[in-house]
Amino acid sequence: MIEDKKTKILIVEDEMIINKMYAEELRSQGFLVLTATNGGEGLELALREKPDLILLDILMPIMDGLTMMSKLREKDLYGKNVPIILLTNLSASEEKIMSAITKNEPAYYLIKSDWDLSQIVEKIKERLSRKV
Amino acid sequence: MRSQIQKKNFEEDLTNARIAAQNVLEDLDIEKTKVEKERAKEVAILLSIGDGLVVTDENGNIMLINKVAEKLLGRKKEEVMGKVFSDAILGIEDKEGKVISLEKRPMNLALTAGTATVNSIYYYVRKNKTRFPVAITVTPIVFEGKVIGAVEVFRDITHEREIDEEKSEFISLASHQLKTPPTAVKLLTERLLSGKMGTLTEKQKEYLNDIRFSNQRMIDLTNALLNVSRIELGAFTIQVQKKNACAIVQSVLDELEPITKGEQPKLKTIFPEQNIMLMLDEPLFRMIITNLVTNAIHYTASEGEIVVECKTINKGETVGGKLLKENYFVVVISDTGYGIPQVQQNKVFTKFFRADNAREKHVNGTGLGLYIAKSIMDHSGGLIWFMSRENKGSVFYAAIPMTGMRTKVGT
Repeated sequence: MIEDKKTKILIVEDEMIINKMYAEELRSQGFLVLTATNGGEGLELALREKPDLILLDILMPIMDGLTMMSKLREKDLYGKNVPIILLTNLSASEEKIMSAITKNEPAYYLIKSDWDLSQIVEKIKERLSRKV
Repeated sequence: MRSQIQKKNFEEDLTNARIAAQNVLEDLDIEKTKVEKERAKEVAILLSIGDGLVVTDENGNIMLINKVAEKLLGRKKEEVMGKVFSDAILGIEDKEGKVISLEKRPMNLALTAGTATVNSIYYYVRKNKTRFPVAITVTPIVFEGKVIGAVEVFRDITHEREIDEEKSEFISLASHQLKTPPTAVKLLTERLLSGKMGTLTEKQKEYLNDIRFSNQRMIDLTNALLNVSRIELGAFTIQVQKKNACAIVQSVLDELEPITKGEQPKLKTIFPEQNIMLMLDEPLFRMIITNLVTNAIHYTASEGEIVVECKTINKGETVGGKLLKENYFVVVISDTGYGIPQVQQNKVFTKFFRADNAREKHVNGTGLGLYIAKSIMDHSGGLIWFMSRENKGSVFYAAIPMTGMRTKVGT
């Protein structure tokens, strides 16, 4: 990672503690971290700051993660291609999530409660190294 | 003179005979009315059954239909009497709205094969095209060794269904909400344990690890509850892909290595074939095997032994006391553990059930693992059964047809 051009990650998560934990861990790993606590705020930040990757919760007030993702994907070329990792405690077999993921690639989902911070960081690095 | 007497006697005899005959006829009439009355009474009793009732002859023609059935189906008695019940009168379909073919309908099964049916998986379509979920009981009427008709009793279970779904939806949402706080605790303890927030004393580390352990139990329990609610709601999907079943079993065992190492029973594997390709829903199949193997580990003393065996069993062969009616891929998990008490063996697959000795040996169990495994098997066409003797050990069998797991679309 080049110091003067840090990789920018946007975290959109309404649970303050969870948001803070992801943010602090990622900062300590050398990323530049932006945070938002709902989909509306997240969408605005994403379009303005153009992060390299977005960590996105699903169930949130004002605008949920799936809505934010589809709005972003429709918006412009950046929005269409930015990798998104959905972090949720909803089960991934929910029909809604599955169809949203296939429709909005490149997107992944991780079940929050199943993943340690270190594993999430690994996943993020892996995704960023794959420049497709 | 003599002839006159004879004649008189003869006439008297005749009169007596006539009177006797009349008496018999009268008695017969009385009896007949009695019998008719009794029969009418019996029919009245039948028709007064509070559920829908339809009786047919051996060809399926309706002989009897009660008011409740008329009301439920939106049909009048006059328009259906003498007609074939499951043909012109009745629309019968599954949850997805697919019409059930004639030969699979409960009434037909009763008439052609003499099979009794009790189920609540179908929907009946009323005359006005609306439908309702129905609980059906159909029994063949057997008279002198021949099926001479069938009796169907059915009722509308819309209300029961709604309550069931509300319950499951509540659990599903509650599980999601319940998982958020332990997720935060999980991340916080991990950050603390990483040492990045300052050096920890040994005691602090020990306590934090205890917190992490208990917290993980909470997450596991919530996950299990969520799975149960999905299964009960019928809302989960079974999506199959061609997979190497042996490799999946092996990878489950590898994944469980952290708990199979150390002070644990020895784990042996017997895989006569390395490659058995099957149509499987991998996550669901993994869930079943994980549940069975972790049970074997938890309920076997550390000096005991667990054997996991993967094999194919042909149609007509018997395994674990069960005669298989088609070709199966079978995973056999045997242990030399505590076993299941004889009197509790019939409850093993029920929700939240934990055997008395299981509670004693492993306090943390959820009582949901085997229930989930059984539910998945029931929905996907697989089989699960066991043999067990207390203080000797248990053998669990999980069998998937070689034709693969049955796919299922969620709702």
